[in-house]
Amino acid sequence: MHANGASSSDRFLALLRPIERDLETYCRRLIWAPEEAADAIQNAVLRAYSAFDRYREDASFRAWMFRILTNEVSALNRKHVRIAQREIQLNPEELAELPADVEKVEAREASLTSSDLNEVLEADLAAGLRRLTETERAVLLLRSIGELRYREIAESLDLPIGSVMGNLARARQKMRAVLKKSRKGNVATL
Amino acid sequence: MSMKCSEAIGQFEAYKDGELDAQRALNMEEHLAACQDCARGLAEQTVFDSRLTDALQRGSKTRDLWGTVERLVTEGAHHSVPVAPDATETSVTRFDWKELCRNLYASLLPSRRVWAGMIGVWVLIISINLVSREEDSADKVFQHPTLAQVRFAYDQKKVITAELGFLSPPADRPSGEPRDSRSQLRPPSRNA
Repeated sequence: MHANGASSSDRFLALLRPIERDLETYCRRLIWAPEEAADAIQNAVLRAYSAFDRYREDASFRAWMFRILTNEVSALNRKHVRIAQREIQLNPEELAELPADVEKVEAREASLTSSDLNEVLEADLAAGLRRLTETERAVLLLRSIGELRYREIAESLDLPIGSVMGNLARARQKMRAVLKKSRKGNVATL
Repeated sequence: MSMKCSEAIGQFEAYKDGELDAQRALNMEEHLAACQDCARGLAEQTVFDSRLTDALQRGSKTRDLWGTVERLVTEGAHHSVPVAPDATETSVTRFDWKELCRNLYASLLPSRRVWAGMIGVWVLIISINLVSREEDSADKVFQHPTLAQVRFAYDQKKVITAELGFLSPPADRPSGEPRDSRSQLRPPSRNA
């Protein structure tokens, strides 16, 4: 089986361009090592294009693309978890909830925002996301950024819908707790 | 049927996201109309979650990255590169052996369980090999006899010795000794 022709690549890129920003934002928030975000995006897009002839027109391209990107990022994150487990002797749950390196987060997120308030908020967001488990983070981001339905999230992560709802509820609850604590109860600044 | 507060709170997320079916959504709205605590709690969560979503969606697109990606897609279309297996499908149309080897190496290297399993398999193979080894051919020539076999041989030896004594020349036989071979087995007479 060989790749599609030029007309198919045009169709693929026409579907991809409207969601590129969301894909990149999702990837950067989900991935463990920020320096691998570009590789993850590139690999995911090329993998999706390779399988584009199997993509059904009536399916959601957005959901399909987010699912492929999630698989790609999960594979990279698992590699880092295994290395960290071997070198640092942490459980996966402990590893997933390590606080973010705030300096790194601020330096990274500075390129994404312009105002000082947004920079500080981004650091809090990243710190909050690091306190979620891998599944909770993926579910929250797929819902918030990917705007996927619960059924689509369940298919992407191979979870029951009930589990998706539970993870989403816990993720939002944890984020509320973390952000309220960092802002000392002033929710309005979020 | 009226909804309880605990049940309503458990469905807040689905209700906010528009994931409840029509009947449950109606039940939720009836409950919220009747319960001010739940209505207030839902309103607070809705405001916070809306702002959280806006904050998470904040980001920009790296033009260089996407320029490279789009160029690779276009080049791939013109060069007709072979299709890689879809990450979302379980069926594989073509194996990427290099990637498989890379993934195996990356997954095996830090995994203690895999290494322990592999060592255990080799120990098992070696053990089975040692246990099922055939005996050396030289060992089959001599086998230590049992006690019963030793006694039988001794008895046979005595019989044969007695026979030989019977057949031996008369000069070798002391006088007065009977010719019966069995007498050779009798203890010497005390009167002699």
